[in-house]
Amino acid sequence: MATRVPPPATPSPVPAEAIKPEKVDYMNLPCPIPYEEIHREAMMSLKPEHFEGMRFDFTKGLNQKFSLSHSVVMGPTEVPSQSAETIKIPTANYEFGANFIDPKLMLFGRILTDGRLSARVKCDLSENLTMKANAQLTNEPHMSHGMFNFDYKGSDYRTQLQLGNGGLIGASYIQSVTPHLSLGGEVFWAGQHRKSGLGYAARYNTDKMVASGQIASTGMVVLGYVQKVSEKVSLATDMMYNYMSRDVTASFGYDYILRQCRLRGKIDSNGCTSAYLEERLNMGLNFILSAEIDHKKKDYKFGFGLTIGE
Amino acid sequence: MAARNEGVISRVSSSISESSIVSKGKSVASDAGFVAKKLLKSTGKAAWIAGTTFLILVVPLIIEMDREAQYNELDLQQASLLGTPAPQKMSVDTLGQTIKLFTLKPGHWEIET
Repeated sequence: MATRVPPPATPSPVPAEAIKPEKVDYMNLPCPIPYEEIHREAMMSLKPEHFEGMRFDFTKGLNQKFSLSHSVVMGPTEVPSQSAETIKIPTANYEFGANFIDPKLMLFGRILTDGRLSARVKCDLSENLTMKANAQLTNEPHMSHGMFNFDYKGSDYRTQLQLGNGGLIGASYIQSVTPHLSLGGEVFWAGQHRKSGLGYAARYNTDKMVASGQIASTGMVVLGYVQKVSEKVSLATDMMYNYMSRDVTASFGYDYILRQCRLRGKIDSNGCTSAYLEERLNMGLNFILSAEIDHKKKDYKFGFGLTIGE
Repeated sequence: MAARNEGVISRVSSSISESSIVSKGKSVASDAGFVAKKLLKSTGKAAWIAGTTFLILVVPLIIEMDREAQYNELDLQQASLLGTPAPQKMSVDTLGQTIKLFTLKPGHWEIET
């Protein structure tokens, strides 16, 4: 009885217990993010929507759920060509959109003056099952397409089934392995082109950094890393490698989210430098500046825009 | 005499200009000129690329950081004016003239101009 170990209520073991890593409850893992959004943070920081020329967006809410949007885009657009030089033709477009947003059902419709029409639907069929559909109609033949997605969200996994026109079938699955690590895979089959593929992805995220990697049998390897330096600043880098065409691109960028603006800058291994600045002038009034210079191709793109509403 | 003299000068000058040292020197000078020109051109190009990259990536960042610092300063000032006023000092604005009051003893205000 004299050699009995004293009860653990003494103050000395407390710091030792604090150092000891927390026991992971593998039955209670967090839900991972969807497979197609595995590089979300890196994409957000490195791939803003650069544009050339002028754009003006106006969104007006008619009531709480229904809103209309108008946007005017003017500027040169690139035309794909065989020669190394890029050919640009000036275009001007007006886009009219209608949005219906409800927690259970979202509908978006867009129509452009050149005849393109697109529609998106996101509908919660049950608490865990979500149906997404998007369609695009154009007056050019073979450019219209439609797609249905069914997403099932489990407690620590997500699956998705994709059905598209042209015999496109795809499925993906992602599972949380530890509280920080999630692993996933996908298969797809494109009936029209008689092509099929496999892909794997991994993502490791803590509240300070996110690392993600993806590999597909099409020869694509994508790696991304985002480090959150402070509350306002994050640095991101990514690398894209195509095994088939043997080309590789790496880029490095910063993302500053300040009180009145958001500034994203990027430089990549092709000698392309770009920056995207969104400045909040007033409540619901944003001014956008976009710059992209490619020294190798001698392609310089500058744009400015205004966004009103939202 | 003069003709002979001229002949000597021309002979000497032609023998100098035809010597291998001069032709070598000429080619070295033209090579050096070519290299210098190329070097200058490539440095100019590098400076141009570096300058434009700086203009795109760093200048907006500096401007926005400066603005952010200004906002923070303004916030700090406002907080010190409205939130927690300095305990021993206050200022009264009368007829556009700011009179600073300060105290040595509690409840006993002195005027500082």
